[in-house]
Amino acid sequence: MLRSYAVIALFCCFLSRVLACGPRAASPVDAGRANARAAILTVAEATRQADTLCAAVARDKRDVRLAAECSTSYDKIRVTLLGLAGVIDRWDDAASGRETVVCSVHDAADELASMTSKVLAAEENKPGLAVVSDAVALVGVLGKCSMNAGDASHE
Amino acid sequence: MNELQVALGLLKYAVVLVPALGRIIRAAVDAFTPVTAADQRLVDQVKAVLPLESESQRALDEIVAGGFPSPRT
Repeated sequence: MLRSYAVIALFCCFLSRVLACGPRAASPVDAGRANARAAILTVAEATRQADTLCAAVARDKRDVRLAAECSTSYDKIRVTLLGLAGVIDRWDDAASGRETVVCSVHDAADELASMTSKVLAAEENKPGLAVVSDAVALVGVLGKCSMNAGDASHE
Repeated sequence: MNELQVALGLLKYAVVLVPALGRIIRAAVDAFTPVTAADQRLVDQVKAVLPLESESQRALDEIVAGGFPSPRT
């Protein structure tokens, strides 16, 4: 009788061990989506810093053209990122989800790099923004955009 | 001996069935986890970092209006 209790107890231990809610390793798809999410937020933060730097340089030099160009880039990036943030749940859609997100993040990062280079060209004494290069590097981790429209610009 | 056989039989079923049951439960939890709320949070986060009006737009307005004193004057 005692032995059967021991066996049942052993079985219960095994059962609880198998059903235990331990941390699950993220699947590659989850990691990709997580990277995309991180890239969106990093590009957003880099855009904010680049915009602040651009405004400071434009005010200092009274450069209307630079301010207008930065403002246009900012608006483009903002619209792209907001659109992305709304469709990130379609990452798993084989047909368009991942490609849409990757290509749009690349577009935003390209615009950010262009905006930053204009600012730094206007003011040589300003140090480069590390967050911008980090954002561009993080976007690179997502892979290349392989959509037809994006092939030329992201190769 | 009989009890041991029963225990071994239970163990055999457990080895096969329990992991399968665990996978089914996890798949069901994943399938029914709402992602919309998380996405809305991401939209809100982007909006918080990037407000509608950029700093460069404000700078542009100030320069055009001439309301911003030049640091060189």
